[in-house]
Amino acid sequence: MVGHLRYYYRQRHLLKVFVVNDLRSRFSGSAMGIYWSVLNPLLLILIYTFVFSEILKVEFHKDTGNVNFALYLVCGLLPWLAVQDSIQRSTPSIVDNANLIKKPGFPASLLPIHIVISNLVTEAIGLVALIVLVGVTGEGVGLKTLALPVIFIPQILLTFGACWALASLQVLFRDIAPLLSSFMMLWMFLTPIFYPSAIFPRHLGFLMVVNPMAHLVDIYRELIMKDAWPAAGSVVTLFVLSAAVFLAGYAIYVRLQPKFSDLV
Amino acid sequence: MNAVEAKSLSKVYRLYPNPRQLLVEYLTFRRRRTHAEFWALKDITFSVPRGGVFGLIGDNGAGKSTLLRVLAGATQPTSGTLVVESPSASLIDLGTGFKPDFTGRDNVRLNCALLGFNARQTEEALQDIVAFSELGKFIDYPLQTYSSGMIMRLGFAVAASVPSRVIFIDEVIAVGDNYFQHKCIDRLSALQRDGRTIVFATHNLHAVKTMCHQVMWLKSGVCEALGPAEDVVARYSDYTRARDGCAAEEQHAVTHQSRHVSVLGVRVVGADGREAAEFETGQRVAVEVDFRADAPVVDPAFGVAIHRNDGVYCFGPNTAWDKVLYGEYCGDYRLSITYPALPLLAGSYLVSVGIFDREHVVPYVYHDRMYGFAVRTSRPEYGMVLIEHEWGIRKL
Repeated sequence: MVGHLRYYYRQRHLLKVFVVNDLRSRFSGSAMGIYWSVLNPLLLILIYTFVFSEILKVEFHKDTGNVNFALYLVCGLLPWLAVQDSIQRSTPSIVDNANLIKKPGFPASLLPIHIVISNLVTEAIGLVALIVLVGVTGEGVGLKTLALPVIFIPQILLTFGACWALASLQVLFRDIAPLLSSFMMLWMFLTPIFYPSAIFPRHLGFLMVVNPMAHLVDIYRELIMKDAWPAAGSVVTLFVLSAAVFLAGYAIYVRLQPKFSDLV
Repeated sequence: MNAVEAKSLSKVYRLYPNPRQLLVEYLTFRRRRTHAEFWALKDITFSVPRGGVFGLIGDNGAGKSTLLRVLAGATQPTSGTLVVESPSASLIDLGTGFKPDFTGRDNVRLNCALLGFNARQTEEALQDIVAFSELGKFIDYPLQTYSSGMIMRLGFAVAASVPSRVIFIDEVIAVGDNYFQHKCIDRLSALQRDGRTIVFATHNLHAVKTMCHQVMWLKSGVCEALGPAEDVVARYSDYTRARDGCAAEEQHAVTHQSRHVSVLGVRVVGADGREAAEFETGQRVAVEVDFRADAPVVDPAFGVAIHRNDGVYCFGPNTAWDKVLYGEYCGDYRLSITYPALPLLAGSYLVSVGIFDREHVVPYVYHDRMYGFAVRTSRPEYGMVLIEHEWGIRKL
């Protein structure tokens, strides 16, 4: 594991080439380029705001007070989109890059890693835009927002773990990718992004506890919107769950990696 | 000191009838086995000394590329041990190590980074590689816009420009045009003079004969022959000719047999009169035919013909045309035809024997290609026969 870290530190040029190319390929060829990283969530927020607060008339007051629904949504959507997009693009990444996998010495884990990092970059751009927006519109940004980078740690661990596991398993079982979109949809609706966690059915409460994304989204909201420290229990649970996913994903990757070149 | 040291390398692929069977095996913890095993390589042992050029020949699917992939570390052998001097470079499958959506230049950077180059080394290598590949402006286009020849040029340029001790190259060079193939061969020769070790697979037997010190012939994943280029190439050519010959429907049988003339035995013998299976080009060789005539036969024509194993009819004299051995024969005889200096070059040959009537139209007895011998040629020669020759030159 430490060897892995040291390897990627030495290979940071390689990582940079991949991340830059990934960002370029995601945004080049479109007229708005990198602005899409801000525009895309913005459009989603407009759509969701319209659907949930105008058509479905979801009650938000219990959880959020009178805070702007759009702001509430964006705090949930930004991390969710980063995680979701990483997982969905990482899963086929090893299978789709047979040319690289067959190259002796090519680190297969780089493929999911660079996608995760590339998504973190776009998420960070979105977050900065969000914080500036909140600051300008006068809601006020608290100092506790500065603690966000700390919460990036479990988010990165979680995403790396999930991406390594799924990308590796996809090599053996190509059925994962088609299953994934339904699973991600389910996961999204089990995460309090469009609704306050308070309205989640009480007898299914354990689903909230074991869902790291539920903790992550809540912590983002506490820090950005309420300028409050999140509940310690929630933070600890998030770190434990993320570390577990990370270790499991790493173990699966290490176990299956030798088979890749024969199976892609 | 050996640059490559392989001991009983084997590679087994598991073939599943369909992907579901793999899941079944996993879920039953491999208690239900549904896969078939395919031995792509079986017990391959060889070594290549530092600075040596090692050739791999064999039919399609014989395991040449698999062996190269194992040697280059692109895939793990199922069993056996392998030591390769590092660093090694390889050009085995077109496009390996390249990402199709990156530009040629970024792909070179990617490969340099994999080799652990720093930014300055990368830019230096980049200049060499761009110059050698002659891709011009295309170096800044995505790789997916390249033709297979262009991908090969970039791949070869990368493999040949990076500092490596051992280079593994597959038949892919053949994708290039004639000009670039020559450029590749020149570069490989230069690298070899520079002390690099080269292992390459090819169907170009001429290239193998001229460049390689040692050659391995792979057949269905097994080492069929290993040794000096001359010998192994000769044996492989012989094998391919035999296969062509078989394809062209052959008869190796007694096609005619009369009641009163029969062939008792045929032997191919050397100068010492002893039967042998293999002779040297230029050696004294004779074919001896023992036959029996139960009733008197007057002025028969005896014929002994030599064919190569691919069906090429080399030579077939008979006594009637040569106007010899007239007479009346009754009883047991030993006929012989002697070639004072066998002009045939390396290969496998077949002998036909016939005894015809006076008009040499209908044979009393004919044994079509039923006897065989092999020829070894110690000096490098091409073709089927050694024709006496002299060279000359004068200024005009």
